[in-house]
Amino acid sequence: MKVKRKYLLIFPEQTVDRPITYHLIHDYDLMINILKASVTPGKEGRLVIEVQGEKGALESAKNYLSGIGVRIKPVIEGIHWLRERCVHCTACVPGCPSQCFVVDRKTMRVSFEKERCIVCKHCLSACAYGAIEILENYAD
Amino acid sequence: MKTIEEINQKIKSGKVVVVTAEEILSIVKEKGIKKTLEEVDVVTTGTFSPMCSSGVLLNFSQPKPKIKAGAVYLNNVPAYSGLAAADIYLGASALPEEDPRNKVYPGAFKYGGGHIIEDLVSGKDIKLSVFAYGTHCYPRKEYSCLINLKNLNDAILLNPRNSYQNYNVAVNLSDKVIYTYMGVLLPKLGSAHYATAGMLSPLMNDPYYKTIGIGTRVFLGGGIGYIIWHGTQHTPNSPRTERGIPKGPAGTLALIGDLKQMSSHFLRGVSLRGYGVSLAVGIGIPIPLLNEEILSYTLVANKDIIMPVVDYSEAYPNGKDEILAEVSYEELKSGSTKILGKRVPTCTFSSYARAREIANTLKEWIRQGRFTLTQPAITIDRLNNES
Repeated sequence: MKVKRKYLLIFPEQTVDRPITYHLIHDYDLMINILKASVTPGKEGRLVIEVQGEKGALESAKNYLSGIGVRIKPVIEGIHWLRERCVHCTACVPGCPSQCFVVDRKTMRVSFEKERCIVCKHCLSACAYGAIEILENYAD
Repeated sequence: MKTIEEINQKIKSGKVVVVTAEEILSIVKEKGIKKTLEEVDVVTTGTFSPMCSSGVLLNFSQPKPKIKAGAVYLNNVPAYSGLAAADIYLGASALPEEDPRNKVYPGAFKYGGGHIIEDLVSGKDIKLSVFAYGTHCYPRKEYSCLINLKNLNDAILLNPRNSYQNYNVAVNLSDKVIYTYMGVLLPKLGSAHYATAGMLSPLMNDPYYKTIGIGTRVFLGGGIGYIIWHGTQHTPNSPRTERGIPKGPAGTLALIGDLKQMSSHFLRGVSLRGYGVSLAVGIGIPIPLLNEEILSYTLVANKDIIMPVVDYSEAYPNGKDEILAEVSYEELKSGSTKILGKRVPTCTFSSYARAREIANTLKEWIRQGRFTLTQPAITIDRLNNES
């Protein structure tokens, strides 16, 4: 079964010079998309990657990374509604599959029910006023 | 019969009675036309929506030695400089040259002219870069500096087309998502995207432009502005309902005002996915209740406003005049409407809540005597007949 996941990888100082992405692609047949990277020589490195591949291969790759001392944290994405940027236009409403955006039809004001959100990101393209942000947190 | 002068006298003496375009309906229902006309002097309107035909006229302070602007950029967004040396015009839909547009489809259009106008009005610094060929009187060839609302000699909002009287309802009959200036249209009639503030819209309350004209003082972007002409693409002779409401896009207005008085709450840069950038503008126009006819026009309700449904996947881009259905603003505002036998969710980029806020703000301004009414030099209906 193919899966797609996002991880934050934290490299200790001694692994910074190893071609880890090469190994993930070559040895585990994973598709790697590097989203963010900061590698400072002599310090720890941080890499945010999106990985796509067979579930089994992904598990083996994670074992390989842990084995060489790389810490792996899943990235949890969350939609953040910026109340002060929202003008209550309703453009986000129809495309949202989980009906997160609720309109009070009397006041014509929009509110956001965060617990219903499945992070499909439709609202990110529907909103013209910059009132939707994606926040990334890292689980421990 | 009442005159604008009489109304202004009442504003000055603190006796003026002002209500919004929503409130007037229940007052007339209770008191009747005659009594209402005696008691109420002004109806305020409001609208807040992206209006692409907007921009700012700026005049920057000359450096020493001086420069005659050729290519001009504000935060890398190109502005028009085919005017006198230090006059530039920045349009709301201008994009930085390095913006990838729709090369990575659909483009995000994070920043452009509309956002610079919002930044300027918020008091932020903007990087101005000017390039020129050099003359005897304007020898400098390059100049860059930080400009902001305080150090600009002039910052004038100058919008060639605002405040559309009515508009299309955009739908998508194709089987793919399409990205338009009306929004992200879901396939197979998955969503219906409308615009305007319905019964609060300025031109819906004076549908034949009998009080509105050149020199009419208005609420513009949180400050004071004026009508300078009808807007571009003004088509007053479009088909109308019995009570005079156009059944599609019709009247428009050209507006001007001092950006230095305005607020980013009512001027917002917008990023329209897959389309481009624009500026959302807040406008409010007072309608003086001069006679029974004018008062009766302000009684327009959302159910009276009929809007044409147009397919933006095929008919609109190809310029075909095909109307799939006609639906009322009241239905569109309710969250769903029936089109071609299907229940379709509705939405808009126009903010009804902010339009209402504008109508109420203008009402307070007039009540407090901060805003008086103007006699237009010529009303738009007379202007139409002249040309």
